[in-house]
Amino acid sequence: MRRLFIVPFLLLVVSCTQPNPVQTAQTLEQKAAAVYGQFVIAQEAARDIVCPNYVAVRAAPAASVPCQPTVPKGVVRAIASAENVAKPLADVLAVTTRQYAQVKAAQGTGAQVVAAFNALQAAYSEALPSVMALISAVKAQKEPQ
Amino acid sequence: MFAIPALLQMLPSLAGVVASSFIDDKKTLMFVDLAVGIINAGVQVESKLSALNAEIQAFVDAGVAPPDTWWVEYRARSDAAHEDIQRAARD
Repeated sequence: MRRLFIVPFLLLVVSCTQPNPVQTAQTLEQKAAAVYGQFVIAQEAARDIVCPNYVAVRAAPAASVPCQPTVPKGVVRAIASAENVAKPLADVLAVTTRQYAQVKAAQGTGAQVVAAFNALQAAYSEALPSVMALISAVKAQKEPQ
Repeated sequence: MFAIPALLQMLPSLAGVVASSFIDDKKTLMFVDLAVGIINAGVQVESKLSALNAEIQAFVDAGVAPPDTWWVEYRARSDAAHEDIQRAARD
């Protein structure tokens, strides 16, 4: 019976020491980068679940080697769907962050900087829920049932 | 500070050592494999998160925004993972 407590205990240790890049970031640009970075890490974790043999799949000629997911097909579709929703929003966040940096660097007018900042803030708010949804979908598969 | 990443890297082997004291049958061995597998996956994500956190901390310390090269690198990783995930859904 005691052995049943090993995994939850160790997972608790891992989650307690987990770094939080969004908390580390101080400016909106840094926070946007932290969210985008976490999105990419969640994507890569999702890929490890739905297509752990992706290196072989990529190397094979046109669809001759299929992905071998570690979860049922329905879960693969759910993760892929969450990723497909989050990806364009996360990409908009990346683009608007770079545009804001460019406007600032070019010493644009006050109105231009404010417009770019507002666009970045809107992209941040739009991307965050879908990125969190993807992270939740991936975590649900990584944690013990 | 430096001990935490090192400790995380050691977790899979620690789990094996701790669990080995409870091994009494084949079923338990399977349980140990599962436990170490789950923790390995967690550690892999953990090390990527630590690396990202260190990058963000460096930007904070320098008082700068992430440069274009940072965005290009992460965008490339994102595009590659996106293709693999959507291919898996089609397979």
